[in-house]
Amino acid sequence: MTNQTPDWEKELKRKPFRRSSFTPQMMRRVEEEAAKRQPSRVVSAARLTGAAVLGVALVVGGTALERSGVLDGLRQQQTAQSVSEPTDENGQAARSAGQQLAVALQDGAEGAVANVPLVFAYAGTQFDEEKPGGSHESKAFEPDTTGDPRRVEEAVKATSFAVTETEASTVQALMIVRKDDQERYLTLIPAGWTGQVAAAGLSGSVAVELENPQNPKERMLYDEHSSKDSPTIWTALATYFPARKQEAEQHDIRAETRSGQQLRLLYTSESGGSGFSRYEWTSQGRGAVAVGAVCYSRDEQGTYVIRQAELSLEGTSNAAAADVVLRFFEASDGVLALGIDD
Amino acid sequence: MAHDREDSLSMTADDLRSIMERYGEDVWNYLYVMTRKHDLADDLAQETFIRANRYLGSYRGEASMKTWLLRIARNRWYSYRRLAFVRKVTLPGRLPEPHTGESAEEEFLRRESTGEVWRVVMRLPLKYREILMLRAHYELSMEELAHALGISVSAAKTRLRRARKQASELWEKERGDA
Repeated sequence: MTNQTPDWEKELKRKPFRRSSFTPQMMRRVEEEAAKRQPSRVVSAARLTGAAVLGVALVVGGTALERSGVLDGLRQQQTAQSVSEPTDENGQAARSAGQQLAVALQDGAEGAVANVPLVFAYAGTQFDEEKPGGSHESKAFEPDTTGDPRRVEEAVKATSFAVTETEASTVQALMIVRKDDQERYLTLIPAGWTGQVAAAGLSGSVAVELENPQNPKERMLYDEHSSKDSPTIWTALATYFPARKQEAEQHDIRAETRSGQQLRLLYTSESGGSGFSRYEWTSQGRGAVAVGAVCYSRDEQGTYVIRQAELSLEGTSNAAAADVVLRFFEASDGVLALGIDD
Repeated sequence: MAHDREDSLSMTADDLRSIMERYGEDVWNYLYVMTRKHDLADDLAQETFIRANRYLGSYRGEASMKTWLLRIARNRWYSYRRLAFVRKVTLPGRLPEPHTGESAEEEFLRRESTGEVWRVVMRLPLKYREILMLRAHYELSMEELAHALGISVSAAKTRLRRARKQASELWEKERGDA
């Protein structure tokens, strides 16, 4: 190293590295991707009568998953699924006005959106739902015609999420409303799937169970747990975050093992106070059996919150929808909290 | 060669390849200096060109193609950073093994770096190594620099002055330690 302090402007004109690291292989991947993503022309948001179009923009955090290629096997071109509207006892469409959620289009011009149907579920606590004898009533989703959609639109504007047109046709948006305090949460679910249970925990958590009406073996579960120290928390941490396995074993908890389950994406904050994991469970000869994602956070008091979404699938027909759902989960750290609509 | 404004608006596959061959190294180098991670620079560089191909219609020719690409690259990096978690992407079956030897990145710098000046720059804080690279290596004007960084020209001048000062201090320190 010479003694003289460099003239930085002159010295840094030189290339930093001997060889180019932008390889022909990378160029080929770009070309393949560019060929797949033909730019869409603007899709004008079609407004249904009485529809409230809510603008949502969520940063796409899922590109790392796309780059990893591990989900390519789950991707399928999906034909548009019809949305099964909830019906009342007489079989009449229960929604008085269809509501839609506008999601930014990945391949469109600036401002281009795709609309996805917006459905609602009321989540009661066990005290709301429990019948004499300790049983809980399962309710199908009920349409919510109250509330000012503009307030919700303001709440979600801060985030950005983008989908392709094809992806938009595979999902619908679900707004979960807690009956006790009217807190609202937004998530994406596969298009046409109907609700079985929407529950609220006393700690502030929410959970939903859904099924595919065309194939009830296909189900989705979204669940949350909050605790400083519970078997549920430690099992999830040990199972989906291998670095926490040892810590869980100190609490006498072993990781859950399912033959064929593999972690596909995993990242944690440097402090270990938060993390995200995406997994896939395959079975020989059946392909993907379940796909899911888990995220956790730990506050300063040491209380953990675990959020998990898992979709049980038969075949690959809903694989594309599952991918969009889990990307939204990743972007929102679970369901997207919208606050109280008052 | 379709780098003129009019021709660029209708980028063909050949044009995309041509642009990548011409600017791929620059974009990757910039992203590596920003991220200091080989794999991440790989991913973000590819993403940059995918987006450039997609949004070519928004390129108005007000900046050079290289500057435009670097802006996209910068946005990609800062979008990545904006997410809640600091990512340590772990691929299945490849959980990191703890080791005390030279890291992959240190080895890459030792092997591929063209000189000590770049090794010093790589040790600077992000905002200083970024501004030095954009000004000194990519020769952005002060106006282009300020626009790229989203700051005023006077703020860019101040930051550049501080970057040079810190780089020089680091250089002197390492010379003293050598």
